[in-house]
Amino acid sequence: MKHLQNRISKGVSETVALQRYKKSRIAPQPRLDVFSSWIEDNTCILSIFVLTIRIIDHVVQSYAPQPNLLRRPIPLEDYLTPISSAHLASLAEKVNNWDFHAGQYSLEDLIWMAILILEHVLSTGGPDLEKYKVSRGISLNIPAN
Amino acid sequence: MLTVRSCYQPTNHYHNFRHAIDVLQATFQVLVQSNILPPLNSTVLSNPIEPLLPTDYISPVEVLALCIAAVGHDAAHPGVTNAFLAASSSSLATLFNDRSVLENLHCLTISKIIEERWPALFDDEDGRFRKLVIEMILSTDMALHFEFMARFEALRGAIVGQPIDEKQRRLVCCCLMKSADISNLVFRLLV
Repeated sequence: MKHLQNRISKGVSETVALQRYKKSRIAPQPRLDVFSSWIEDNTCILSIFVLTIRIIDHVVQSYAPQPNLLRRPIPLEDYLTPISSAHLASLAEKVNNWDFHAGQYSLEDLIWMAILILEHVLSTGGPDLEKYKVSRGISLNIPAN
Repeated sequence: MLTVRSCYQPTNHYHNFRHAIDVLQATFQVLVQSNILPPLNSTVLSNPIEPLLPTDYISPVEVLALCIAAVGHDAAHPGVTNAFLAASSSSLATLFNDRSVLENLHCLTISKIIEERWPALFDDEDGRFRKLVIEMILSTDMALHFEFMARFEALRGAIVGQPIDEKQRRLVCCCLMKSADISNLVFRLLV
């Protein structure tokens, strides 16, 4: 009986020793595994993060020039309305002023100002710019000061 | 010009079409104040006059390129920075290898518009006009500001009283472009 008890206690101690040995042999968890398990545990947060990035990317892409940008006809309401000579002269005066703020003018006036400047550069550039001139179908008519 | 306007995002509170015209007008003013261009008035429009400075300083072609670059220098700006585009692995950043992403986008946009709407501008044999516009727009990348300023400082000391070559003229044009781009800081604040 005592012999049997000794065998059992010995067997138990061996099992415990074996388990301890096995535990000591387990390699430490690599950093990548830790990261992977963190990802698995936080999939929801990550998904939201990735989704947010994709949405931002999509928004940014939507601002980039689209393939059909130049093929789209300009809407009729975007066309410039005819401008009077007096108004053109007043715009020219504002362009000549150093203290200029584009925020004070309508988008249509700003387009006319840009046209005035480009027209001015082309008309004062001499023969070098002759080949760049394009016809708009009309001529700018500014009354003399 | 209508197409250029449509490329600027009205939802962008700063880099919109108004900013483009602000920069164009500032460029124009710098050219006028430097006696490169005469001021805008009816007499000039009906009777073209000779440029006040010799054309080998800044040629009329470079003046026109400056104005085109000024109008298109922020075209299609999405309202975020280059750093943001790179950090978010945006497709745009990937496309342009994280380098001057926005500036490359602006060049691409204005180039496409010019090719379609004003092809005569890019119709030179050596593509000089296009190169000029691209160089000036790329120079507006503030990440390259100090490197650019070092080049300009070196040039400034070298060209006093000397005729300048084409490369130096391009650098002067880029400097004018950069000055106009950030010129809003010197204007009166309207509150």
